[in-house]
Amino acid sequence: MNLTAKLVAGAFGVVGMAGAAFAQDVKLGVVAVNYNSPSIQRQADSGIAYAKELGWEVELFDGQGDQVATNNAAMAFMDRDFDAILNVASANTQMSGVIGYANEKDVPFVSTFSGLVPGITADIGSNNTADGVIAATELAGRIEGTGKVAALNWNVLPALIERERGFDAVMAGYPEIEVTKIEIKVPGQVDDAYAQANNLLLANPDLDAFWVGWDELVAPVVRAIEQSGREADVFVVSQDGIPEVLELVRQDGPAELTVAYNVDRMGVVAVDVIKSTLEGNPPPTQLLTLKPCLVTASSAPAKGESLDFSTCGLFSGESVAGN
Amino acid sequence: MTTSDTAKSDPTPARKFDWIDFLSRWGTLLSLVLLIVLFSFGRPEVFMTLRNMLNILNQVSILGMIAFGLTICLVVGLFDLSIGAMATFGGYFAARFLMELGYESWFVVVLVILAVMALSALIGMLNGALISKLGISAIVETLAMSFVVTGVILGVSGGRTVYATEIPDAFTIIGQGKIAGVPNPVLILLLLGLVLWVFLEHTQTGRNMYALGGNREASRLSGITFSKYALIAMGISGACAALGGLVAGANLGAGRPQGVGDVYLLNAFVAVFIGASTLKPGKFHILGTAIGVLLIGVINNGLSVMGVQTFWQYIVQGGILILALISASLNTVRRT
Repeated sequence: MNLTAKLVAGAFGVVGMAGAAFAQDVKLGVVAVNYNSPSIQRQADSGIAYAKELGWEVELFDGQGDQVATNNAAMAFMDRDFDAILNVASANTQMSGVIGYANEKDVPFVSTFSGLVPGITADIGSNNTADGVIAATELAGRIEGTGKVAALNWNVLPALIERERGFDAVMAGYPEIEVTKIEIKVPGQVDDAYAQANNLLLANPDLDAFWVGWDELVAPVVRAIEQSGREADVFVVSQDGIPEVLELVRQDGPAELTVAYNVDRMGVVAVDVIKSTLEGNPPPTQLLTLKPCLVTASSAPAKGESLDFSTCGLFSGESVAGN
Repeated sequence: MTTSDTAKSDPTPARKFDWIDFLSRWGTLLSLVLLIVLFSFGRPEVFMTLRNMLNILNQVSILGMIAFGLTICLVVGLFDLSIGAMATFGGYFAARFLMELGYESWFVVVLVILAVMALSALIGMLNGALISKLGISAIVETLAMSFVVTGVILGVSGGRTVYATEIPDAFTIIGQGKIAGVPNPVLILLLLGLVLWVFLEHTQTGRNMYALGGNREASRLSGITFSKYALIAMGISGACAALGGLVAGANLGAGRPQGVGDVYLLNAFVAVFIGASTLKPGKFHILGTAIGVLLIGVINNGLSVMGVQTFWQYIVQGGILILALISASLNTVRRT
C-alpha cells in the first residue's frame, strides 16, 4: 500500500471512528399521539429497537390521543437538547409549531405515516393513493366493472383521505359501478362499521362489495356479511395488512384482499434517515414511500407467520404470469 | 231539548286537554313512532321488515345493557363515567382469559364470564365505597377509575387485540348466535332489562334507591343508608358495562384493548336522559331507558338505510335529546 492510499485509509478510519463515536451520543425523542394503536406501536418499537442497536439514547412519549401534549413533548425534547425527533403517526399538519421549532434548532424531524408538510426532514410511509388505487382496481376487476359497491372510510386522517382519492380515481373509470359512501364514526369505528355494513346489506340486496379505508373495519364487515348469509356474493377489500386481516384473507372468506404496508420497516427506515441526516446526508426527497404488497388468499402468509415484503407481489397479474 | 238544558245547567266546566303534561310524558314515544312511520315510508321494503327490526335491536343491544346499568346509578343520584372503560375491560379480559385457558368448553366460558362480571362488579363497588365513604364526587372518582382501568388493560394487553382465532366458538356464539331467529344479544338485553325493571320497581331495595335519589337526607332519616345502596348501584353498573363489552367482544370475535366502551359512554347517558323524559318525567327508569336506546337505534338505522349522510345522525340524535329534555322540563317550568 502506498503512502497516499495509507493516508486515505487512515482518514476514512478517523471519519468512521468519529462517526461511530457520534452515533453513540445521539439522543432521539420519539413521539406518538396514539402509541397504543397496534400498527403505530410496531412502527415506534421497530425504530426504537434499531436506534438502541446503534447505541442511541431513546425516549418515547405517548400522547394518548392528545395532540397538544404530543407537540409539547416534542418541544421539550428539543429544549433538552435531543438531537432528533421521530414522530410516529401523529398528523404533521397539526405539528407545524414543532416542525418550525425543529428547523430553528436545526434538529432533524422525521416522521412515519404522518403526511407531507413543508419543513420536515422526511416522512416515511406508504403511497396511500396508490394503495387505494390497487385495492379499488382489484375490486373493479372482480365485479367485472359493474355493480354496487359500498365505501366505508373516515375522511379525517390524511392517509385515509389519500386512499379514498385513489379509490375515487379508479371508480371514475367505471360508470357502471354505483358507489355508496359511508363516513364511519370514530371512535367506535369497529361497532359503527358493523352496524353500517348490516344496514347496507339490508338496504341493498344487490350489493357486490365493500371497499374499506383501513383494515380495522374488515372484521366487522366480514361479520356482517357472514351474518347476512351472503359470504358467497359479497366481499371486502382493504389496505394496511394487520395480522388479523391477513388471517381473514388467508381463510378465503369475504375478506378478499388487503394492500399491506411494511409497518416494521417504516421505523427502521426513519431511524436510518435520521442517522444519514445527522451525518450530513439528508434524504433527496421529503416523502419516502415503501413497497406495499397485495395480499390475497393465495399469497397470504401461513397462520402466525409474517408477510415477506422482499418477495411478495404488488399486482394480481404477477402470480398469474408466473404460473 | 232536555239534553241541551242539562248541558247548560252543568256547573262543572269541561276539562281542557293538558298538552304540556301530554307532551312531557309521551313526547319521546311520539317522536319514536313518528320516526318509525317516516322511515317506513322512506324505505318501506327495507325499514319495516322483521329482519331490520331485529337488526335494530341487535345494534342497540350492547348500548342497552350499558345504559340499563347506568340507569340504576342515576336513580341513586350517581354519575358513573367509568362505564366506557368497564365495557372495554369486560370485552378484553373475557377474551384474554379464554385465550390463555385455551379450552373450547361451555363450562369454562360461563366461568370466565361470571369471573369477569364479578371482577367488574367489585371495581364498581370500589367506586361506590370511595364515593359514599369518603364523600368524593362520583363524576371525578369514576373518571379517575376509568383511567386506572384503561391503564391496566393497556398494560396487560400491550395494545394487542385478542383475535377471533384465539377465542373459543363457545364464547363468540354469545354475540353471534340466535335462538328462534332472535340474535342472542337481543335476548340478553331483554332478560337484563326485565331483571333490572323488577329489581327497581318491585323490590324494596329498588324503592329505597328511588327514595335516595329523591331526597338523600330524608332517606337517611328513614334509615336508608346511602353507602349500602351506592355500593349496589355502582356494582350493578360496572357489571352491566362489562357484560355489554363482553357481548361486543363475542359479537365481533375480538378482545380489543381500547376503543370499545368509549363510544357507548355518551350514548348511554343520552339514552338514559331521553328515558327520564318519557312516561315518568324527571324519573330515571328502565322502560324509559329502553325507549331512549331504541330511539337512538331507530335514528341511526333509519337514516342509514335511507342513505342519509352520517353527520345527520349526530344532528338528529342531538336534536331529539334537546326536544326530549325540553318536553320533560315543561312541567317544571309551569310549576315555577
